[in-house]
Amino acid sequence: MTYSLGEVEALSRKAARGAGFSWGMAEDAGKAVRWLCNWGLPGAEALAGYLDARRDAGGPSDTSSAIWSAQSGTLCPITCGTVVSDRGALDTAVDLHALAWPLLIVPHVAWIAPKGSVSWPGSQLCWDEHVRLSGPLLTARADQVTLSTTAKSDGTACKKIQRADLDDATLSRLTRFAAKTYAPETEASKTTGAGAGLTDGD
Amino acid sequence: MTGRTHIPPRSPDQVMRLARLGSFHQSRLSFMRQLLRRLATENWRFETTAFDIDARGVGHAVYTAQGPERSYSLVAFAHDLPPEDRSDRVIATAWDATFALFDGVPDDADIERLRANVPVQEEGRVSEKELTLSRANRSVRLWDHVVSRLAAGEQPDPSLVDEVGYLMRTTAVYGSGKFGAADREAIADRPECHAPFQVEMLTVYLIRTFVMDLVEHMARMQAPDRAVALTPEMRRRFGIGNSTGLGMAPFLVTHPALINAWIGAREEALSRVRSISHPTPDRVQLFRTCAARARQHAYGWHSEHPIQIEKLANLRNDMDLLNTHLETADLSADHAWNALYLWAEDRLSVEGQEMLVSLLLEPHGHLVDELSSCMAADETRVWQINGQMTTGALREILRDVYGWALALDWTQDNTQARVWYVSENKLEPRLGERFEEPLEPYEQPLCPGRDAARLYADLNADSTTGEPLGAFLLRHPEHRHMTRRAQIAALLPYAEIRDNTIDAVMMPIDMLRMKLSFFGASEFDPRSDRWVRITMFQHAPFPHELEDAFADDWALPPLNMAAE
Repeated sequence: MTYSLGEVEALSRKAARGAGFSWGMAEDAGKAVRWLCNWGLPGAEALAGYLDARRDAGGPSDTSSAIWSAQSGTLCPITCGTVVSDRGALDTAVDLHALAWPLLIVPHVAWIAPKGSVSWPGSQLCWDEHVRLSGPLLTARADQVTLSTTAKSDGTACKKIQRADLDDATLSRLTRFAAKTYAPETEASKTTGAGAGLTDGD
Repeated sequence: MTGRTHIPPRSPDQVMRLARLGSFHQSRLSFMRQLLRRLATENWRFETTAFDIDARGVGHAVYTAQGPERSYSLVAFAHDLPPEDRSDRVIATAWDATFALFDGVPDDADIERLRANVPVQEEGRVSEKELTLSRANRSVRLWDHVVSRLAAGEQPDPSLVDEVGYLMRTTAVYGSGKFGAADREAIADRPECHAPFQVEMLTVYLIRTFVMDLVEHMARMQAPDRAVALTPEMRRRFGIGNSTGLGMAPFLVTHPALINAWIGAREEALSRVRSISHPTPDRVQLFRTCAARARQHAYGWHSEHPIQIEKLANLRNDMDLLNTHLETADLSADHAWNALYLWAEDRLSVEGQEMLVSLLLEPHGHLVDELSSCMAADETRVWQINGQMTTGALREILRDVYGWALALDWTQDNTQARVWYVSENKLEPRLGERFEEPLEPYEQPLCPGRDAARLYADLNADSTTGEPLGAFLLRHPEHRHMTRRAQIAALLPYAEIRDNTIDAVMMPIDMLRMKLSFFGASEFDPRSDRWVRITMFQHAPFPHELEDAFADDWALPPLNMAAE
């Protein structure tokens, strides 16, 4: 079934929050999935995959270097994504060692670089006005990922679809995480939380 | 003051307080008025292409609005609702009528698809062909009265009509991608959809027409030989009610760029009028009429809620004072509009001051209507965090924009007494008591004041002035949300409510009222501190009347209506 981009962004934001990210980080995750879905890319699947398997992935230990790695062993694509987009520009190429779900970092790079590419062994996504891809995208962990501001012109062109195409399994995986942000229902909450005091019919 | 003195817009510290936002009224810039001006000037055509409703009031109807480039169709389903199922709460599961606004003209397959989904609302799905999803319940008392009067060949009792103001009230109008509908981005570049909430307002406008047709239809079904239609004057006395709860309040916090655009346009409009050096006699005369109508409006506005009753008493007194003052005030004097505004700041309650702001815009469409085009905003344009900014610069922003919050004592229970959360049932936004219910783990980020104070404290404790924010945020991801807000608020003066949204005595209805006033709602009638009933499009011309001169002169009731 297709969903609106607003729906998939909200679901992804809540899922990331439910999985333990701060609200601000979760907002970035939601926007990233929205960007990917808009281009027909499996962003929601990647987020579900990452949240399911995320254990001790972390941020880069030294962001001043051109090679990033995590003390914990695996780099988190959402944290690394925010580090990239917070810089506002990508001056030189950056190599990331052992990045989980590299697809999820792509929007963060695309937001600050009008053209560029993210590549890992066997796969590549590049963009200028268009997005082109080659190789499998749902890689759970890539040993080396290169972020660069050169866009190559090879690969299959993607089309903006302005919707999110989600299968039921992905939907229910993300919904499970999102549900952790909802407070359990209590009678007190039902009657007073929304403020029904006076009669609501007449 | 002489010559061309420019009066700057009011400061956000004055405007962005909940007490003032909660006293806003509709104005020329309201989205309903923008819509009707467009429908009239572009000569939109309206057609009822289906009206298939039986004697029990069950069936469907389609109303198509045809504009210069595109058409939009309201698909309405009418139901036979048992009285015990009638509820305005979002937890309701059945309604008297349900609606979708279709992008274009629906075919039979679309109607059948919508018939399977629209009547169950949140339990169903709509598609990218739909722009809104909505439902409405009858005001049973007035509905039965109007049907029986019309069936008896008589007009309804005007005083009862004015007391309620509508035959049906909508309990939700979902747009912008909700439940599968088209995203706003998909339509935002259409001229007729550029201003905010235009498809939602069109939905409600067409619902009003449908409801009036339906009530006359029901009377005819009851007494085919005797039933009469409503007179045009009587028909226009009916608006559409709306019941709005907490669900709307978070929107104001989650759309800072949009809120800035709305308030900024209104404040710029006020600034332009206050800067006029010499009011012209024709505009002065128009203003005097509007002030008299506003006084009548204040006296005709009903509420049973103690807080609104007090505010209404103030507003009536304010409108008396204003009209008395106008008997002697020299409005042809130098900068007379500004003098009048300053007089109101000294003499009137906040309700009255904000009513005067709306009234001052009324005769000045040529100066202020163009600001309508500045009221849309793309949140993503200001959404990216600038990680190169130093933590010292952020501290300065926090002191400047959130100084009021830094001055509060956040260790006091009443300062953070409330928690915004989402319940697992129907995913309804709610407000709970932090120290009485185990809700804190589920807290939504809807308390910028508290979060700004926390961010400020950590910046002081754990960063040097010259450090780039990006590095600080890598250590403190919990401040990412607030950092984004603060950077937006530094760029956009009216982006942030400058009051504590989790205080023990905070009134969510103030947040609702601000948004609803920009819609163009009137007759705010709070039912508690967290939900409010309003009336929309009351006294507005119906689609076939839009060519007449009053397409934009309906928001204040016509004078002497009560004397009819």
